[in-house]
Amino acid sequence: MPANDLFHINRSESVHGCTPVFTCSVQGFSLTLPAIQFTTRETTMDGFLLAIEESALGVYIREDAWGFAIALSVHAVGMAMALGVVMLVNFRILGVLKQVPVLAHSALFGTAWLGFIINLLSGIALYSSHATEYTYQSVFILKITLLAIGGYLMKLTMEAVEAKADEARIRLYSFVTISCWIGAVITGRLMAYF
Amino acid sequence: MIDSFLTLLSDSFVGNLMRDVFWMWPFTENLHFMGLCALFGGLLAIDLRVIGVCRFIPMSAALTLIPYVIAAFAVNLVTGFMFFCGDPFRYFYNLAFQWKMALVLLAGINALWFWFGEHAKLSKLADGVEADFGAKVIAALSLAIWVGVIILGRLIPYLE
Repeated sequence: MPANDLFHINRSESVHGCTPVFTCSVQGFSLTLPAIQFTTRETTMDGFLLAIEESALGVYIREDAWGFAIALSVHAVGMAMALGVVMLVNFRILGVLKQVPVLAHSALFGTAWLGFIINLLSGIALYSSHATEYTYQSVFILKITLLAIGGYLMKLTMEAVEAKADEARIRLYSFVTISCWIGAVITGRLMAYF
Repeated sequence: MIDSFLTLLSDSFVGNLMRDVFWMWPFTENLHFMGLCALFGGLLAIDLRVIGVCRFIPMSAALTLIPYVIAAFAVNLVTGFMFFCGDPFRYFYNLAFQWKMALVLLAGINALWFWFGEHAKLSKLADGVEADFGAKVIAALSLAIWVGVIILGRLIPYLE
């Protein structure tokens, strides 16, 4: 028996507005599930996103010859400030960098916050220019998720450092933190590809 | 003459690698971003200490970050060269790229000035003490030049 006879996934086309379904069958057993679609149905959310795109800011960033390029450049500088400091602190905790005390490095958190605010503002500007696309883009959703987790974990890591918690736990927090931040930059860059 | 050199780079192994392996370009871009963040983060610690904003950081400790900054720059030099080989004619004649390289060169001269003119003095500086005015100027220039480098790099696709 050829391998592909063991497992089938068929997707029916939408007919007259009926919900399309996935039919999955494994060696005679079959299971029918509604095909979940996030993007094709009109929702109230789409009206809201469209309003964002048509806002003065969205139109300017999208249609001005320099709008998008300038917002992107500013976004890169903010990234260097925020991630630069986050890298320093976490590489210090993980032992890649030595000498400078961890808490002395955290004196730079003001700069990291400034970078974060720059990127929040430039990020909102970039988002408003293509709100209907970015909202449903998998790498964008992943990026925002990683940022939220990474941001919260950075706070937890510093709290653990200040409380002089178990070294292994601090390192674990720090490793996950820096992974999330790097993941956020990678998924952000990949938005141009997916 | 220059065009034949650019053709040589374009036809090189690295040039072909960058164009033919579909994930090579975004992968290298991400490495370039990581290098940029590490470079700028290290510079922030050193330069803000010298300027006096972060006197909290011991000067001798801040100066130990110099090899970290140089390592990050090396990553970006290699990945940058890889992009260049992937599309040399586009980069060489690109206005943003030309200005970016000029600024990188300026940053290099600034770093040499720091190393030969200020490093010995600064490494003897006691914790919490302000650096002299010349060192502060170099540090401020360094941050300004690298912000310019980041912006011009990001503008390369828009200034053809």
